Amino acid sequence: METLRKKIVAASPVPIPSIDDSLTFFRSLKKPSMVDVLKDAKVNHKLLFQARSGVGDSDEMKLMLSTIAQNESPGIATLTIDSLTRNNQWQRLNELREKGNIAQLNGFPLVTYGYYVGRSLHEHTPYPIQVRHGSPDATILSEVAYASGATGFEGGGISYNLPYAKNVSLAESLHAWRYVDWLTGMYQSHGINLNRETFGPLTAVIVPPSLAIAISLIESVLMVKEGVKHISLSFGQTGVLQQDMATAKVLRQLASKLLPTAQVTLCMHMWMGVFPRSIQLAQMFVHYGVKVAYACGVERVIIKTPVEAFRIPTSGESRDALKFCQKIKCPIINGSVLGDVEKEVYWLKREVEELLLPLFDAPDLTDAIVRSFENGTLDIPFSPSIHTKSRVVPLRDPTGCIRYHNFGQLPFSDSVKQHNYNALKFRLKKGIPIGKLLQTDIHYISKLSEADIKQRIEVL
Amino acid sequence: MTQQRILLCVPHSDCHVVVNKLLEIGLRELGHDIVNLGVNCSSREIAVGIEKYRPSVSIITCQNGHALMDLELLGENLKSFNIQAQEIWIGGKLNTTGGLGHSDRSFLSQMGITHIFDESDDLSMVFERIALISSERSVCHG
Repeated sequence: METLRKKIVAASPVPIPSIDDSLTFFRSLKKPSMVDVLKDAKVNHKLLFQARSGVGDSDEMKLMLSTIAQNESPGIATLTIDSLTRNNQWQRLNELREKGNIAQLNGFPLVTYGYYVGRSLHEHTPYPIQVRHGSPDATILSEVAYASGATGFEGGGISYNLPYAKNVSLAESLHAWRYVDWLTGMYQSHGINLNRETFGPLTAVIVPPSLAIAISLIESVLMVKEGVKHISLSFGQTGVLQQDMATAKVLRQLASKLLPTAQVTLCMHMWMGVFPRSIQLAQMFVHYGVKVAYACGVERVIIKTPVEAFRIPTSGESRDALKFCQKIKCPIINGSVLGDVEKEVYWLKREVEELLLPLFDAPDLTDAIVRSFENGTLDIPFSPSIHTKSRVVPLRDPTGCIRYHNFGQLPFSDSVKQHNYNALKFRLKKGIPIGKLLQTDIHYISKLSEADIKQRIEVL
Repeated sequence: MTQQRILLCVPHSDCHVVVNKLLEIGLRELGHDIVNLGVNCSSREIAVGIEKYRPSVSIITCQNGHALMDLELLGENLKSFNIQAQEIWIGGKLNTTGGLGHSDRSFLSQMGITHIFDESDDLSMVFERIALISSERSVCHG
């Protein structure tokens, strides 16, 4: 890995400081790390709210961080990275910068600005900085992020490749992310607590929770192998309370079994699919999302704003959304929901175990992952990648829960298949084409009425 | 109604594939011949695709707000293949600020885009427009 590091540093379009220099910078930071903040949330049963934030211009980015920081409770600041940096398109980024068009980017081009600018961002927020992106090869980005004092880094070799890229082989992205995990572990061995987070939402649209859980756990096992100690397992809100609560419960149960040495926290992404186009309904759905996060017992929720359906929010809109979320009280869970949750937990856990069993029996986990995606025994629906079969087709059952309609080659038992079939048979018997059903399901949240959302909020 | 050949793609820096896949599934179920170039298509790849497959309609979908940037060479590339009078539609989040101004629309038109679906437009509007083209062509043919 040391040899690989030399190659990565040499290939970087910007200087990367020595590890010692970065260690000194980390130690000089007068703020808690992301691990500290999450530990506090876990111990004190707090829910942290985190907004996405990333713009192309560095002054705007600083303003965005300081604006978002104007809320009452401690949280985590985000640097969302732009699409060109995610794909290591350094030349294109330089052209944009030279032409004065860098502000058009959909996120912050941290590598192009370099670690000096990265370090200067800390002056604009009292909170630890986490880098969120979507890069199949984040080797250079991770170097610059850690050199900039970021104490959290999102992504993994599966979850930041197959939902994000067309033609990056899985072997290649797993290799690149092994480096990111090694680098994280190396800083950790010097006493710098860094958080690594999986990207559970995957393609973010009606992804069956068992696939999302399985992939998060696989990536976490790989992280631990490289010395990572602090892991956030993330998942996307499905929009159905019992399925979201079950997802959180199964994640915790299996994490304690598979990651016994890691400090694990959970992070829920508020619904990432199509959002209601009415500001009022969107606000209500954000309200519901906070209550669901409380019900799931997660330590952190990545929030959405009411303008989600229209555009990327401004810093003021993100700050206001954080303030709005912080005012919502922890609900008392209606006992009638709990029975449904336990049923979901049973089947969800079975599905995840059936997905994972063949992998953890294999002599080499990385090889087994590559082979599984090649033969379809692991799969991601709606993937843009040519390196996964993408044969799995999900649908919502009449209660809204996400089920498997087409299993592709997933290694499920007959009873798991029958359970999914039973859940969907009512909708399927009407003979509506699958394309139409999928459209309906993808718009399931955006088409909810005011009464529907109110009813959901009232259950909590 | 005649079946059409429809080319689908997503611009270069964008990997959001859901709308692209929904169109593929839905249009294929209606019997259309679908060529899906997928995500991360450069302007040149789009032009090469149109030249090679000669679709009735090409549909570009975007979600990451980089479409205007990503497609700045589309017009040039279409010209280099002498592609004219092609139906090329686009929809989704085309910039980072939300909503397109007059200059953005005019830019896209210069790049060869013949129809822009607004963000608020439902997918059903794409299907309706395809149906319209199909019925027009069936009248012409028949």
